[in-house]
Amino acid sequence: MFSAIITCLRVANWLNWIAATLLTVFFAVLLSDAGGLRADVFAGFDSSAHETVRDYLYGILALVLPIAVAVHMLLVRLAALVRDAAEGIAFSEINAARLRVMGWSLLAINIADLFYGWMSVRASEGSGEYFGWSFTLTGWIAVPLLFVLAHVFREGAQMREDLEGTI
Amino acid sequence: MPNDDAHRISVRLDDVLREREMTLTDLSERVGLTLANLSILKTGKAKAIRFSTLEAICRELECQPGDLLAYDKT
Repeated sequence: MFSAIITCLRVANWLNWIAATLLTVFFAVLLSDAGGLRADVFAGFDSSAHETVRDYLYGILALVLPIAVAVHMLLVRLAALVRDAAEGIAFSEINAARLRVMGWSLLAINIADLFYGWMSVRASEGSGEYFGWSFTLTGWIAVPLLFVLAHVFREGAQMREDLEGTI
Repeated sequence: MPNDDAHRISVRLDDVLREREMTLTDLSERVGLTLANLSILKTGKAKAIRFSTLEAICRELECQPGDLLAYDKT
């Protein structure tokens, strides 16, 4: 079961980078107006909203790479954590550190999501079109959970070390 | 909390074994502990000792816990 989870996480990370690459290329092509793509997209909006929509697209382009890096950091560490759990060595200082990095990564993703939300609201107001986004608490709840888990793992690692030194 | 690296409790298993003219191997067979674990205890590298282990060692060496462990003030 663990090996299947690790494989899924690795595939998810590959998909993360493929999606990030495709999105970057798409928005770069769109914003550089290659093949008149930008003109086609902007044709659907009033001329007064073009600047707002352009800023929105630049905003998304700026978010793609940081989010892909954060997701990569999260998935790679989660896969390593699952591998250690499968080997029965989950409670270690290194896994506590991995959980802390996962917590910071998820926090970065949540902040990026908030930024995306702010851009969407701004674009919706400026263009009169609805740029979909809704606030969700799930990610924000998971952040402190990861930091608490990191603390639990650090305590567990200490207890394990003490137990190993008990004769 | 005291620093773990600065062990103030010293183990005097070696001295008691010498007095009893017994080897660590003999003791390990009698108390049912591995030679490796007894060696860790003897060299002061153990972090803790179970009462059951202490009891078995005291029983076989006919001594008191105080004969095996000492608190170093310095």
